[in-house]
Amino acid sequence: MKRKQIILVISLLLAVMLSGCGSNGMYRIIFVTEGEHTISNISSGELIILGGTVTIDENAALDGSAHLVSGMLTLEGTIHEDVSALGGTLQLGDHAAIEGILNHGGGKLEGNAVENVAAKVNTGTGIQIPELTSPQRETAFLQLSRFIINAALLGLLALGVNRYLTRQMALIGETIFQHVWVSVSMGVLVGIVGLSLVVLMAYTILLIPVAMFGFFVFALSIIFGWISFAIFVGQRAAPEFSSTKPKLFIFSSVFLTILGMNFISLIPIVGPITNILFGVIGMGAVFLTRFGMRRFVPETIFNQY
Amino acid sequence: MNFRELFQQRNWPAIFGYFLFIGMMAAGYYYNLTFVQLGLEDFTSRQLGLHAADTAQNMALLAICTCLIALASGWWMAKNDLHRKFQYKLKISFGVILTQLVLTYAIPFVHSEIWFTCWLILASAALGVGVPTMFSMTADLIPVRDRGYAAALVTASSYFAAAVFSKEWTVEFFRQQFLWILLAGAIGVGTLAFIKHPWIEALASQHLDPAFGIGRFVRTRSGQVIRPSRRVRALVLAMFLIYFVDSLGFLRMLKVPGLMDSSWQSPLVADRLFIAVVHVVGALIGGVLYSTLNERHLFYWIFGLFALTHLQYSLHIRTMGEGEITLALPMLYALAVSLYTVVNFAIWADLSTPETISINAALGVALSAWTATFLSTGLAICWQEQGMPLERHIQIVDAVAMIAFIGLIVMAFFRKGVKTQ
Repeated sequence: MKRKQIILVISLLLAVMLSGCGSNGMYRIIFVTEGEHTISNISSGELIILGGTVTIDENAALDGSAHLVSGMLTLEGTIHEDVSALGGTLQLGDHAAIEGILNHGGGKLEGNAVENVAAKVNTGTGIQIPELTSPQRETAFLQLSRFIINAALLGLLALGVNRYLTRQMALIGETIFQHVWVSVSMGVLVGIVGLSLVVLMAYTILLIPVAMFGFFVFALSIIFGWISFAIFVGQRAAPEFSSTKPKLFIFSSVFLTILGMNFISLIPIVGPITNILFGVIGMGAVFLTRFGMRRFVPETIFNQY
Repeated sequence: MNFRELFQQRNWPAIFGYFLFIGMMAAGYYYNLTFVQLGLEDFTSRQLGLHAADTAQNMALLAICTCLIALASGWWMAKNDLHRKFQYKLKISFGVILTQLVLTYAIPFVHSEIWFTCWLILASAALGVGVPTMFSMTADLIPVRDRGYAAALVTASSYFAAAVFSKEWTVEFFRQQFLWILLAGAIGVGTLAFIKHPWIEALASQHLDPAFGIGRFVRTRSGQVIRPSRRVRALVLAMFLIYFVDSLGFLRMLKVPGLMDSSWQSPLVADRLFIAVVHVVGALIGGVLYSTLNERHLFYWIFGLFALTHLQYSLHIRTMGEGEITLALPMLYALAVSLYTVVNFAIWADLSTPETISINAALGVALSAWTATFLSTGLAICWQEQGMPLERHIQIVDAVAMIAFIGLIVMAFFRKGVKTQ
């Protein structure tokens, strides 16, 4: 019993450690929805203004990008990256400096954009889609290390999970492969509805703990899906290896699959879509089997024609 | 038997049957969604200058007449064994399309309420006869295993067209669109109805194949057909509630420019395209899930989605007023609507045999769709006239959806088997 508990604790710790494999480590976003705010020194991260007023003082700087959706941004100091104005009012003072690009898609622009903007100014339909920029660029070595650690942690987690939930993992994997379209459909539905519900609950403030629990269940279902998928693929690819060295097999299956998924994510457009699809299929299969608690059998057509 | 098997067998008449059914149903539903539901309301208020209450009365007349005519023609079709006469059904469909073509052409010449009432009675006759006729063709053209997918394609194409191509919600715009569509439809269906071709003969005998004829929820035990009468009643009630919730909420939102201008009536093609794509995705999901899940699970999803959507809308109205909305809200709405439309297109045929399909479809569509739409339209207009705030209106709709959702879960605990006849 004690051993079981230790393995459970280690598995949970591994799951928590996965959060450290987030793409770029520390990340900061300042959301402003109402009220008056002033930045009077150097502030790092993204600034997103959905309402209210923000002033960046003359000697102050924003080490990131600013996104103005509504409200007002008065710039007297410096913004080191881009500014995207989609609505509201952007006031550029005499000493204002935008070191990146100014994307002026909507709203009011006051001040001299040509003098204040170091790079180019995009207006109207020519604007670029606002993008949250990375606070620090990752080196290839760091990225590779992150991929390997991520895959290794998930591999270790799979060992712990599969020890007690072997049947459940097998059922999820089986559902992914035998009912792929049903898994996709259920995954998309659960994803859209679940995310909307979680955001709605978080919005009420009172239900934030429930929303956090919802996110946890979401993340767990995706991880369960990935692990089951990887084990199932491994069993099909190397059936002998799975019976002779089961632990090493599980670890290596998950490690290689997750590593592969990480590399696929580097391919522009196709990569993220593929990874979202993997997540959706896994989540769908997890929900169809109720976390592997039952075999998913499609509603049979009573008259078998 | 399904599409893939039929394709492998090179069974071209059966494959043609898929296209015929999906094309006819999609065009019919597109006409109903746009010209009948949106165009006529615009016509009565803008062209005839009728008040909201008078418009509601006219729409009620349309609903009641359609309901009665659908039931009568469904019963008449069942009584006269029309399920055996495929080409006869094509001839009736041709008559329906031709009537709709003439009525659509004639609408600008209607200048008074009395003439409009006459026009409505003729329109409801066409709709009332069309519903059981076209639904009963499911048993002739679509095998049981593919009904969910066929319904998904009908839903996806009609909603996609309605969301993308309905630039203006005016009767003139819809009339111009439909004159060409109905003309093409009349020529096509008319040709099929009056020619003698081996393909038509092949399609006419398909309902004799049990893979086509006997619906998914009709069980057979040692040759005896067990009719799911309890299930029919429960599903008519469930579909009634869905239509009621949908219409009651949407009819009120329709009157709020802030909500519509940033979604269904957005001047930006991208916004309308987004909603159209969500409709398509929702319909395809509905098609897959209808074919694989118990219908009860689908109803959980539909009611749950409607409850969540209206909750989101009421929260938006409470915090941001009646201003612009993000596309996340219509996205949820479109998803729910697509799911239930797929169920509506497939379920009546799946509850029936070729003998009972016309009466079951008439009962289902008349009692659930038309009655619910009529009641909710009247109620929505009445509440608006009484000055009920939008927020309160949406909250009530949300409550109805929530009660239906919870009621369905509670009912599952008291579930009994199907009745044997």
